[in-house]
Amino acid sequence: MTPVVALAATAGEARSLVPFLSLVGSGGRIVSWHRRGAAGVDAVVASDPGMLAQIAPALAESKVGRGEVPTVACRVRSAGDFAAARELSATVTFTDVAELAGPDGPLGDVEPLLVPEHGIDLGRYPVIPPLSRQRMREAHGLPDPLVLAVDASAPPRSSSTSLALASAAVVDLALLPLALALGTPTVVDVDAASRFGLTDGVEVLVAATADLNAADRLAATLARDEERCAALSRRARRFAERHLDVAGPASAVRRALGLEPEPSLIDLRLEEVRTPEWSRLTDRAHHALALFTMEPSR
Amino acid sequence: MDVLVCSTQVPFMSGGLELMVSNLVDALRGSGHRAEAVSVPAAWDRVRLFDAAMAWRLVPLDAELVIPVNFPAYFARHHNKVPWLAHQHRAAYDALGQPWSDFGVDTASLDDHRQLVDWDIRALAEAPRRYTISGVVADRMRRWCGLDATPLYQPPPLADQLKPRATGAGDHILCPTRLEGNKRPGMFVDGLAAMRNRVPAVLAGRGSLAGELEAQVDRLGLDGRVDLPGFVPDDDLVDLFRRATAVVYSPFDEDYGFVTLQAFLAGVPVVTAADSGGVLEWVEHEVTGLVTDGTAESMAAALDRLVDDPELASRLGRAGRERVADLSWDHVVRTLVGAR
Amino acid sequence: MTHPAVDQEAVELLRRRAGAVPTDPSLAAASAEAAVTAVEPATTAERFKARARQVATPVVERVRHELDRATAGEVQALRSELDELRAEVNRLRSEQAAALAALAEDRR
Repeated sequence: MTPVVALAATAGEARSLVPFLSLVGSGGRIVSWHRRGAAGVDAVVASDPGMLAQIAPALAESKVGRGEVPTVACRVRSAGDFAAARELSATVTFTDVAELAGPDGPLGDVEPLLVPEHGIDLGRYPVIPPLSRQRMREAHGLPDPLVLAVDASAPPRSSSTSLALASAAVVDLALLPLALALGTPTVVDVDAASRFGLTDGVEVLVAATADLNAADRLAATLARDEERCAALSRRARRFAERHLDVAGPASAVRRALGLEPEPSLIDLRLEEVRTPEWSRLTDRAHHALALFTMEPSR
Repeated sequence: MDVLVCSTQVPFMSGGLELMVSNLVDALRGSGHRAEAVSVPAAWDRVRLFDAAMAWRLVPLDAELVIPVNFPAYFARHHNKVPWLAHQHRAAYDALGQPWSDFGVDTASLDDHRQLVDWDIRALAEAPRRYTISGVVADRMRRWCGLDATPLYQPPPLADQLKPRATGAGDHILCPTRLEGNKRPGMFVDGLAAMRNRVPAVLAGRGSLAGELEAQVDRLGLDGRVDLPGFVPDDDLVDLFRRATAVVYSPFDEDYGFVTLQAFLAGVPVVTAADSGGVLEWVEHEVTGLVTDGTAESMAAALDRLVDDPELASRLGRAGRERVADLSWDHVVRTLVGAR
Repeated sequence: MTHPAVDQEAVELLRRRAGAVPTDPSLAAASAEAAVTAVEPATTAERFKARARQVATPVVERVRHELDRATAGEVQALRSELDELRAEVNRLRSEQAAALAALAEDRR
């Protein structure tokens, strides 16, 4: 049975939730919650505790969710929001405020889950470490090193390919999340670095001036420094996983709402080292255990 | 402390790594720790390469410290995992495209290569501290994975038996090595043929190139001057080191190379090549040995110099012995368990 | 290539473009300087680094749209036009979404 996820939000708020909701609802159906008493809804995503309070009576009447308690995910943007969402029995909370999330946040727990504003579906973009880039360039007959300047005005397929294969790249703000996700050794300007909270020499190199040629020169120098490229690439990906990933939180929300089964131990271990679902290794692991898969008890 | 030394072994193949594991376990026990070796069988063909890595993710390791020593044992899942790495899977890294590597630049290889590098980075990054058996291995980890590691050197086998001779010059040139392509024993034979001095020489060891080397010795008219004894028992090897004027060791991009350290312990200078990798962490040109460009002429010139000038050979040998004087298993154990 | 970020047509385009010669002479200078330092490196680490440096002069290929070269006025005009189009699309989308949702409920 295809699960149905309802979105409870005002029109303005709904738009900001669409990218995240599309991941939460992948493999399911999403309807907008604009009338009381919609039947057959498995879970609700509310844009804020205010909205959750408004629909609470309807939730109680329409038996949202598969158990006795309605399954609701609620976005929060402050500690007060978080308390209110808990008060309203939200099953799981998420936020786009980085300071609120994670073990170091004021709430100090696993929740709320961080769904970053400039997020990216990291599951779609496995990292390509510099050494692998080099092999791929060799396979494609591309020059080595290949230093590129990429910005969002290029067609998406062209920019993602460039960021995937470059030895080093000068990247603008819009493409920065993708560059970090792919582990591209990247040069950015001061503004882009500060907006994402990136540190010069840690995740990226920051060009000191707005002069494009200076950034190009920095990237060209970077491309020749194997060790530095490897370190920047590794830390860039780690940064993306910690601060920009949307797929991870979406999956956690799906699990909390009962829309996705808890992963098996082998799946957890594969996920731990970020093995793509479509990797031959995932298939191989499942194949090895297929014989022993237990039927659910009746 | 309860310590598990984790390694991955291809069944029925045994070599330097197995010896290193056994020595480390002994040294840990000697320092009062409870230690055991844990091994998972592996296959190095590309299709099955990741199986042992996945297995290590699932193996329960109930100990206070685990020390993985090779790929993919460092995929072990433990809160206190301190790798002391002998090597990563070089077939997928610098040996890609070599005849003995099944990693090419085809699509399937590239996918597996990318997965391997990414997994390696993640598994190694989990460790709070990382050590390698040499600077070369640490260097590779930095270039391939962007991760730092500290070289931690171990004493070579026979360390307690190797001593310098009391007096006098040596009476032969020694090259103790496995007779395989990456060790380049042919370079030694070519160098001997180009020498001015007709000094006797011993090429000790076994391997797939034995027949080829015998033919080379014959062809170059070195028959009677070069001895190829095959396997040499430990006592005889110690004696060969003790009586040597110089040791030649010039493998290609070696990870560590016990031979260099054994020669130094015997007070004998080492002649090597500029691309011999880890050997160059020890052989400093005109300080502890002579570094050549690997051609027969430069190898011969270096050997003739040491034969002509016993005082130079003796000085370099003494300096070599000083360089390795501090190597001890006690230091290795204290570093790995994190004792101060 | 099976990596989802890599598109074969885009690779072709990249290959055609990357043959270009760098326009910034300082890039060639940096490369020449690196080649000098690559002579007879002493340690293994230096040798590896030198090998990395001994590659051809990197080509900085600009994957930027023609907008870069357009004048500021033209850019502004294009942006306003784009904003208007976006607003129109959004208006139509919200109208249709409401209608479709109502239709879906009526059919139940």
